Amino acid sequence: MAEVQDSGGGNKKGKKIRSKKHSTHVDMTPMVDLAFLLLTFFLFTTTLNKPKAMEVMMPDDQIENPNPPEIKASNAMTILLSEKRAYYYFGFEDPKVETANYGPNGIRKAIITKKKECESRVNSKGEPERVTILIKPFKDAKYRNIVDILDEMNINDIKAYAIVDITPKEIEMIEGLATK
Amino acid sequence: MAKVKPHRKKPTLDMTPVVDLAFLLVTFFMLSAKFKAPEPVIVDTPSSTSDLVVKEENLVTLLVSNDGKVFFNVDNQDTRYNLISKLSEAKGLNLTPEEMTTFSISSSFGMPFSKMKSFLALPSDERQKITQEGIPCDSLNNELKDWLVVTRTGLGIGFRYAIKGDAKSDYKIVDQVITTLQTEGVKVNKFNLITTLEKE
Repeated sequence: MAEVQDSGGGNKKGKKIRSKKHSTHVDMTPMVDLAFLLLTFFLFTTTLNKPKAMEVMMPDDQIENPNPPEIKASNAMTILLSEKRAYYYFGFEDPKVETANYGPNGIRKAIITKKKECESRVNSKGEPERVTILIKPFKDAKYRNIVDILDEMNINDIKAYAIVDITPKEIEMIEGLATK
Repeated sequence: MAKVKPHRKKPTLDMTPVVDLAFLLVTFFMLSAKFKAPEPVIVDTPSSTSDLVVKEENLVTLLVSNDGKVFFNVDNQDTRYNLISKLSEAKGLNLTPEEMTTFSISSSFGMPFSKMKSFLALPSDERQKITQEGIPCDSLNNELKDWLVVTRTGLGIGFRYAIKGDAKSDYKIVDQVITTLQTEGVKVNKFNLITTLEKE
């Protein structure tokens, strides 16, 4: 394929002329360079574009649930999301709001501690209790914050969680903390 | 003793099979690569540890840009054409077949109905210069709902839905999109949030 036969040019006088014994190898190196360049280009464009996703299931908000699931105050954890930090409290009555950052040492630690605490207790059926997390985005929350928290739910294997609207009382609590 | 003459030959390596193989691979990747039409906005998706791969077939993607604009996209050119003709009919947009073709070959779309016809009638290079306004999806004027109602009911295909939001976009806008997905007549309670895989 690469070698081209060098047929010696004919001579009119019949005198034989030895064709020069040049090697007629074509240098393939630049071609290989080019080919591999293209190859890498297509390799990268095909594999880097695969989008990943997380699945979200929202409850049907059209159907009025006559008896919404009751959450025990001892199993409840509420996370309020603001742009820079997350706030969390346990239970419902007279909560003590704490601040945490997004990350393994902040909110994740709090979630794990609460999860373990709930699982150490046993309900009436003899099963370990489950923590229920209510996620409430504050008005300055970014989309990234929601994804981060949903990701924490996946990482820590929290089965019961919901994204809920924030209440005026909680807005007050955050604003009170932020001005301090 | 006779002198041994050293061979005066260069050690050449025959590259031909290498080239053969390389070009074979090039052709394979070229044919298997699907080029994406450029998006009207750059969306920098947030990262997560989720590694669920979304299949692109029959996927409705709702883009949310960092300045709060919403764009609509659906996979497959034929579906896009069907969708726009149904939508044109339902909303009385009077689009010509050429304008519908223009819609079907472009990517994510984000213009209100009122400006749609004039936008699609523009020649391609001028259209690219215009920054699209986004589909209105607030409670007063929710055109996104009309888009979704048509995809949900008008085409007879079971679509999957995904939200591709910019990490810096306000959750308020994403919340509006989710609320729209869940409204009467659309009722999509299960959807995907597109993220990039976290590097750790």
